[in-house]
Amino acid sequence: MKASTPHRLPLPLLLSGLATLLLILAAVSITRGAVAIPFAECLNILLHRGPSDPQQQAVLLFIRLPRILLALLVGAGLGISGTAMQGLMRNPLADPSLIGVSSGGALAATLVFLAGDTAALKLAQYPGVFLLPAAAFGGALVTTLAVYRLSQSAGRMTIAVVLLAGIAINAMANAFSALLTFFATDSQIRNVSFWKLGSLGGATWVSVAIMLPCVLIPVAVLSGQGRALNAFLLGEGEAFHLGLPVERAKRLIILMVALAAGASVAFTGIIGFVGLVVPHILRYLAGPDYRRLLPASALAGGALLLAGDLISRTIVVPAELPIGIITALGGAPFFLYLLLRDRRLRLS
Amino acid sequence: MIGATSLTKGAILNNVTLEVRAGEVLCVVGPNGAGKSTLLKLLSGEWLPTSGTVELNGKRLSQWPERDRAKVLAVLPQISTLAADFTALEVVLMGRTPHMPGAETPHDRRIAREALAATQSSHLEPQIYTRLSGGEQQSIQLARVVAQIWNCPHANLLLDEPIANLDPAQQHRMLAVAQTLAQQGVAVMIILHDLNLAAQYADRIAILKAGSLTAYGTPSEALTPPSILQNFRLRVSVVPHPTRAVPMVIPE
Repeated sequence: MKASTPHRLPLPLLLSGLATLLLILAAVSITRGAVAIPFAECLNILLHRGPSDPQQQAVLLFIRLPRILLALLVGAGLGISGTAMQGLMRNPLADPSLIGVSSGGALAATLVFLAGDTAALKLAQYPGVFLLPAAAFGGALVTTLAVYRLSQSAGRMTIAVVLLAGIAINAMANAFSALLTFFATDSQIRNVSFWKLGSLGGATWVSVAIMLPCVLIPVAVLSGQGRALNAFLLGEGEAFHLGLPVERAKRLIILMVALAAGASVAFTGIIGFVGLVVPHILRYLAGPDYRRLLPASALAGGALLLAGDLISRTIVVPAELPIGIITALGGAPFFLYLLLRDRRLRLS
Repeated sequence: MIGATSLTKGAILNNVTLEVRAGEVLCVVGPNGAGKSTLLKLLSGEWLPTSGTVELNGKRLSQWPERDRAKVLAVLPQISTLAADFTALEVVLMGRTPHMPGAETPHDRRIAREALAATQSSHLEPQIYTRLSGGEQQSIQLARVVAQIWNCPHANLLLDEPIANLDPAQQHRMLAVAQTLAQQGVAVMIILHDLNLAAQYADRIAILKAGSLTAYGTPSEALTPPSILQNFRLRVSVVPHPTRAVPMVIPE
């Protein structure tokens, strides 16, 4: 058997390639949608050059641009969280939802949708806009905290318990969500299910501004955990013997994943498969070294979600296909392909 | 140098005092469940003792900052599972982790290659680790811990049954690497099952039985028929090795 040379794109090449892809996707995204705006016109509006159509200007500045930025941020957060979770769990099937961010967020969101029709909330119009993301973020944090506490014993976090506690807490949160929908009206149920399929439609400059630190801080912190995650591949004992602060690294990773993925769930609902697929694509291109995978997965996640959102809002114009459907429809077959390719490699 | 004083860990290890000296190979032998791996985990700081102390190069182990400790103390655990598609060289480079703040330098690469050469596995350098045989993987893991302490003064190396899955030639090659390191000044401790290999490669032997140190000395002092009968419940003759000045254990 001739050993195939592994793909090892150097980090600068990988990052600049992904950044280029991202810019191209952003340039295409900005022109497409229910209102088409030629790219030259977009530049005119953005650079304040000459007069422009007020409708196009409003669409670009207050709908499309924040939406593109939110897609980038959410994609980056989910991508890097997925990679970090797979490294921490030493499990290629792990994704951010394992620590309960999605199910906890969904439970809280369901509560808000059910209570949303009450008079009290209608009176509080302005806070109502942010009640949903705030509640979802809170729900995500509470479930993560529960998983975290359950996995602790004698000051150490047992990763196998994180996995099992995550499954149990997820099941419990999902059961409560289901119980709540039993009492819900048809329109509430519809709202809940659409929220669960994810959407970037609610993007505003305020949500972008809140997302920015919730994603940039985890991206910066997690990008520095590459060596620790590489050592975790050898085993926790080995990571300790290599002089790494094992417990601190585990806590930091869980915290950062909860922040990035929790904030993503809060503003956009549940968008699956980005965190699962991105690390696998990058491993194929750049090898298993987490020092490369982590920063690259932020860019790749952003690009992937930007592409997904472009499809979601152009494929059934003027309606929108929920982004979660697009990422699952594209992600699941691709994941199967990777699985089959891997199996063939091992058999040969 | 590692010094353990009155080490006790629950009911597993009881009042063990021993020393892993610079320039020496100490082999720890004993029946299964005697507490050998526990001893190694305490000496490496992975576990904390119930009572007793461990000193690394004359300073309490618990007072060493993690990275500084890793620069002078490398450990090869019993089973290392690595499922990712790293090349052999990349695995060995991980041993340089405590020495590099960011990316590896040409200096780290040179040391990794020297460690591969020292473990006679240079030919494996570009190969994917997961596709190597068990014995080859083990020699790459050894190269990794060797790279971790390569050229470090006052280095210490702990190996937990490093030869369990190896054929006889590989076993001797592995132990010869440890012996060479000891001759260069490294303090080496190896947990072993094979008494004759221990006799051949150890400067001193420690026998553990049910958590207690029952024999501790040169191979000829530690490996006597009464001591082996008492510790292993095995009747043996001990004869001189035909070519080396070490004892040879022959079960009756």
